[in-house]
Amino acid sequence: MKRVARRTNSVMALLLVAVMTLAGCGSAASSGETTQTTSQETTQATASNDPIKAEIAKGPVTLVGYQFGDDTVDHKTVLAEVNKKLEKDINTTLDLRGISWTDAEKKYKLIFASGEEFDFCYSGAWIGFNSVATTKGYMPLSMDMVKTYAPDTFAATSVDRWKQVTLNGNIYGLPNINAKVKNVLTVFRGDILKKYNIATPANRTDFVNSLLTIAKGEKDLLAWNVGNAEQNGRMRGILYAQAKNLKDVVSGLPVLSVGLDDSTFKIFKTYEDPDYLEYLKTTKQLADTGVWSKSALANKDADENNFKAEKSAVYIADAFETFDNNNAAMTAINPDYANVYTDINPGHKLIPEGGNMSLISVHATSKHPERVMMMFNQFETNKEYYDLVTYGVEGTHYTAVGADKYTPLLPKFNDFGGFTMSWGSNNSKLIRQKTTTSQAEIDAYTKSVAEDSIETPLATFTFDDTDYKNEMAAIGNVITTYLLPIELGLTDQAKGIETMKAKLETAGIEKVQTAVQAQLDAYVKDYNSAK
Amino acid sequence: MRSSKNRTFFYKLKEYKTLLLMLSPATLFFVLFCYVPILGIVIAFKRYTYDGGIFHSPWIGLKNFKFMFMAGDIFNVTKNTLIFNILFIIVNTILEITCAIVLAELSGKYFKKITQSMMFLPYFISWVVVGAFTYNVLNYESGSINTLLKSFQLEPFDFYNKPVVWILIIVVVCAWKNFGFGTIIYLSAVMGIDPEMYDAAEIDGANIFQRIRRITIPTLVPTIVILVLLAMGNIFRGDFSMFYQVTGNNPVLYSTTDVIDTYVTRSLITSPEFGMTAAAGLYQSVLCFAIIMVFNTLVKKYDKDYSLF
Amino acid sequence: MRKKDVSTRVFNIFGYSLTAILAVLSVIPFLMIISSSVTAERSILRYGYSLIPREFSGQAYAKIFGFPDDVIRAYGITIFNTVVGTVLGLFLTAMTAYVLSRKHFEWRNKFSFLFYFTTLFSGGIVPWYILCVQYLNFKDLPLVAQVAPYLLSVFNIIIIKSFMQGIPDAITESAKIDGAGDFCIFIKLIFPLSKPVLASIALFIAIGYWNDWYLSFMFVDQSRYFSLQFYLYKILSATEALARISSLSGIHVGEMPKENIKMAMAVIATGPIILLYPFLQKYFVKGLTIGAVKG
Repeated sequence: MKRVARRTNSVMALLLVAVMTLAGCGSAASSGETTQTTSQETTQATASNDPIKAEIAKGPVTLVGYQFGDDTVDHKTVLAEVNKKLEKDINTTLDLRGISWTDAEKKYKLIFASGEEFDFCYSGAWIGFNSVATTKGYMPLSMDMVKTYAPDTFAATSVDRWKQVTLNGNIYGLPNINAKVKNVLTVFRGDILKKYNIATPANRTDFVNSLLTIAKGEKDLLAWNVGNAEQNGRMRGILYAQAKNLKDVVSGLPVLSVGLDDSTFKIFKTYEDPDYLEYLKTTKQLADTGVWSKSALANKDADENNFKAEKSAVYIADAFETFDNNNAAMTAINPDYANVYTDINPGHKLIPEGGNMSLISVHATSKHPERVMMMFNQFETNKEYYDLVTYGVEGTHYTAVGADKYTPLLPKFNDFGGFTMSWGSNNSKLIRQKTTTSQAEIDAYTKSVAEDSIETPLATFTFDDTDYKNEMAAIGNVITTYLLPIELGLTDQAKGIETMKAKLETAGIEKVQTAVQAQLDAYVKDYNSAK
Repeated sequence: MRSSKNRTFFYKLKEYKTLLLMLSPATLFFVLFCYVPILGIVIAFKRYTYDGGIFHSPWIGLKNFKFMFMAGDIFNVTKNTLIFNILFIIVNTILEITCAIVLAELSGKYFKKITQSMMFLPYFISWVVVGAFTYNVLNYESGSINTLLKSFQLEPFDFYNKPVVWILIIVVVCAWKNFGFGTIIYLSAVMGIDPEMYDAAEIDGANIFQRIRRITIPTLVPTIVILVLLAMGNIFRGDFSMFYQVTGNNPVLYSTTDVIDTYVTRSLITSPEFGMTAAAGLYQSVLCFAIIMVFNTLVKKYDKDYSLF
Repeated sequence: MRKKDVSTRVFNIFGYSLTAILAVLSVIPFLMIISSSVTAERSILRYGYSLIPREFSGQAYAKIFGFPDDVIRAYGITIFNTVVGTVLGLFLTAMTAYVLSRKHFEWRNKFSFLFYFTTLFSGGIVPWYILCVQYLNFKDLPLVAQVAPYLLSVFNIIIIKSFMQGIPDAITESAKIDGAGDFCIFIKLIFPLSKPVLASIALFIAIGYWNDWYLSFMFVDQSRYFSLQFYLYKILSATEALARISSLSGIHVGEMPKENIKMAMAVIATGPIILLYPFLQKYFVKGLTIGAVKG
C-alpha cells in the first residue's frame, strides 16, 4: 500500500487527469528516430521548394471548424487574438463554431449528413470516430501529408498514436500528442469520517463497511447518493472491475469484459462471473441498509452534486479539477467538511487513453486540409498558440508562472476556460499546472501513473458494429432496462439476472460476443506483429 | 369520354381559380417542407453513408427494422403507447369539455378570466422542470407526499418501485399540463352557440343541466369528433420528453411507462443510425395511418362534414 | 337576470369549486418556479423546491442580468419570430381553412388529405435538415429559418376549418348573390365571424413560436440569433447533457448550471407570453356568428 490517503487541504490530487507521455512505452525508440530526422528536415527546408510556404502563398483562407459546447466567456476575444497570429503566420483565419452540449451527439452527425461545408471538427471514439470515418465523414489523410504540413506535430507524436487513428490504411485525424491517464478515486466528507471514528478506507471492505456505518448512523444524510448516472458504471468500476483489473471491451456494453492480465484476451460475460455475483451481494446489502435512496433510479443528480449539496457523505471524483473545486467549496461552507480522498483499489492497472479517444479530424469535403494541418501544427506544438487556445489571453485570463505553471485570474464560472477543440490537440509538454498544486504531488501522481499504467491493445480496440447494429441496439436496450436496477440492488437480483440473461440471448449476445472476440483477436495479432 | 373528363377538369380549374390561388401558399408549403423531404424515407431501407447521402447509400432491405423486434419488447411498448394515448384522449377530452362548459356558464367575470389564465400556466412549464418537481414530490426519503405520510406515522410509499401507479401519475400529469390548451378550443366552440337557443330552452323550463345536455353538448360534437380524430392520428406516438422526464427514465417503471419513442431512443443511444431512426418512425406512421383510415371512414359514413378528409 | 333555481345553485357550487381547484393546481408549480428563482442555491439543493423561499437570494437574476445583452437580444429575436410568425401564420392558416371549408369546392377532401397525410408520414429529420440547410440555405437566414417551418400546421387548419363549416351558408349565399368573390367573402365575412376560433388559434401559433427552441438548435450557429427558449432549453438540459458527455469522453466538462438560475431563466423566458391570453380573452364573445346572420 504505497499510496495512503491523506487530507487534501494541502493540495493536489487524487485523481487528477494526469497526462503522461507514452514515450516510455514500447516502440518509442524507432519513432524517436524518424521524428528527429523529420524535424531537422523541416527546419532546414528552404523557401524555394517548401510546400508550407507554397501553401501560404496561395492566399488567405478562412477555416471553419466545429467544437463542442457553447461559446465560453470571451470566446470572441481569444479567437480574435488567435486569428491575429494565424493571419501573420500562415495567412489563415479561423471561424470556430460550437455544437451546444444539449443533444450534441445528434447534432454532430447531422452536421455531417447535411453536406454543410466546413473544414475540421473535434472527434473521438466516444462520439463515433470509427463509424463516421467508415461512412466517409472524415477526409482520409496520408502520412506524407501530415509529415509535410504538420511536421512538428508529426515529430512529437509517436508512431503508435498515428496507428491508433488509422483505419484501413488511412489516417483520419491528428491525435492528441500524448495519452491521458485517468484514475477514479473516492472522496469522503472529513467531518463524517471523524464523527463515526472511521479510519480512511484503504480497500473495498473498509469502504463498504464505512458506508454501512454512515448509513446506519445518519438520519437526514445519505451515505452515498448514487443515481441514474450510475448507468456509466463507476460503482461497478471501483467495487468490481478495478479490483479484478477488467476492462469493458466495447464501450456501452458493460456485460462483456476482458481481464487486463489475460494474455489470451478472452472475453467473458460479467454476469456469469462469480465475483460479479459477489459484487451484487455487496450492492444489495448497501441498498438494503439505505446507503442510497430507494428512488435512486429516478434520481438524475450525480453523486457529486448531492455531496456538494450536503446531502451525502461520499462521491466518486473522476478529475482532479472537480475534487479541488469541490473541496474548496465545501470547506467554505464549513471548515470541518474538508474532504478526504482515497484509492480503495491501490495499485490497480491504469489504461492510457488511445489516440482515437480525442483528436482533430478533417471534414471529408474540406478544400483546405493542408491549412488545417498547418494550423493544428501550431496549436499543438507552439507554446504561444497552445497557451492562447487552452488558457486564454495572458494578463486577462491567467498569469503565467514559469513555463509550466499558471494562476487563473477569473472565477471558474466566468472564465474563458479554453476552446474545447483543444481536447483533441493536447500536448503534455506544454501543459501548465495550477500554481496551487504542489510539485511534490504532481510528481507523486506522475510516478504512480507511470508505475501502474499498462500498454494494451484494449485501449484502442473499437468494435466495428456495422453488421451488428440491430443486435447492439437490442442488447443496449436490455442492459439499460435490467442492469442498473440489479446493480443498485433495487430489485430481486437473482430474478433480474435470469431475465436479463434470457433477454440478452434473444437479443443476440452470443453472436456479438463471438464477433467481438474475432475482431479483438485479429486486432491483437495485428497489434503485436506491428511491434 | 376522356376529352369530356378533361373538359370538366379544366372547367373546374377555371371555376376554382380563386380558391386554388388561395390554397397555393399552403400547397407550396407542404410540398416544400413535407413532400420533398418525404422522399428521404428511403433511408429506412438503407445504410446511411455521408458520401452517399440519401440517394446513393447502399440498400439493406428491412435490416433497419430488425432491432425493434429482436428482444420482443416492441409489442409491449406499442401496447403501452396505445393504452396511454387512449387514456389521454378520454381523460383530457372529458376534463377539457367540463372546464369549457363550466367556464362558459359561470357568471363571475373576473373569477373566470383569472382562473382561465391560471389554467393555461402549466402549458408553459418545460417537462424537465415537471420531472424535477415530480421527483421532489414523490421520492421515497424526502418527497413531500412521503414526508406527509411519515408525519402521520404512516408507512412511506415507494412510488418509484410501483410501475402500475405510474399509469395514473402520467395520465394526471399529462391532463394537468395540457387541459388549459384544450379547454380553449372547446370554449371557443361553446361561445359560438346562439344564446337565443338557451333562452328558448329556459322558457321551456329546462334547468341548467338539461340545457347543457340538450344544447351545449350536441353543438360540441363536431369539435369533439375532429379533436379526437386528430389525436387518433398520433395514437402510436408518445411524447418523448414527457415519458422520459416524468418517470426520471427509471428502468423499473419501463414495463408500464415505456412507449415506442423512449424505447427507440434508448435502443439507438449508443450506436445511432439514421436508417434505424427512420425505420422506427415508419413503423409508427404505418400504424397511425391504418388507424386513422379506419376511423375517418367510419366517421365519414356517419357525417361527411365531421371527417378529416 | 336569471332566477337562481336549485340546479343552477348546484351547478355553481360544482363549477366554482372545480375551476378554483384546477386553477390552484395549475398555479402552484409556477409559484414554485418563481420562488425557487429567488432562493439561495444551497437551500434548493438541500431542501428541494418550495413555495416560499427558505433563504432569499437575488443572485440568479443578478447573474443573468449581469450580462443583459444576451437576454435582451434573445427577447428581440423571440418577439420578432412570434409576431411575424403569428400574423403570417394566422392569415395563411385561416385562408387555407376557408378554402377547405367551402362545400362547393369538390376537391376539398383531396386537398385535406394531401395536407393531413404529412402529419402521418415524414421523411424524418435527416432529409428535412438537408433540405433546409443545403437547398434553402437556412444557416445564413437565421430569421427566416426560425419562422418559416412553423407557418402552417395541419392541426390548426383543421380546427379552423371545422369552425368555418359551422357558419351558416345563408351568410355567404347573400354575399355571392351580390357578386362577391371567394377572397372577398373570406376577408369581409368569414374572417371577422371566426374571431373566437381565430383568437384561440392565434394564441396557439404565438405560443408555438414563443416556446420554440428547436429551430434555433437546428439552424442557428451565431448566438446573437438564438431565441429565448433556446437559452432556457440549454440551461435546463445542460446538467444531463454535460454529465453524459463527460462520462462518455472522460473529459471534465464545464460548470453545471445552478438550480436557481435555471428557474430564473424559466421565469424570464415565460415572461410576457402569459399576458397574451388575458388580452385575447375579449375575442371570446358569445353568439358572434348568429348575430351576423340576423344583422
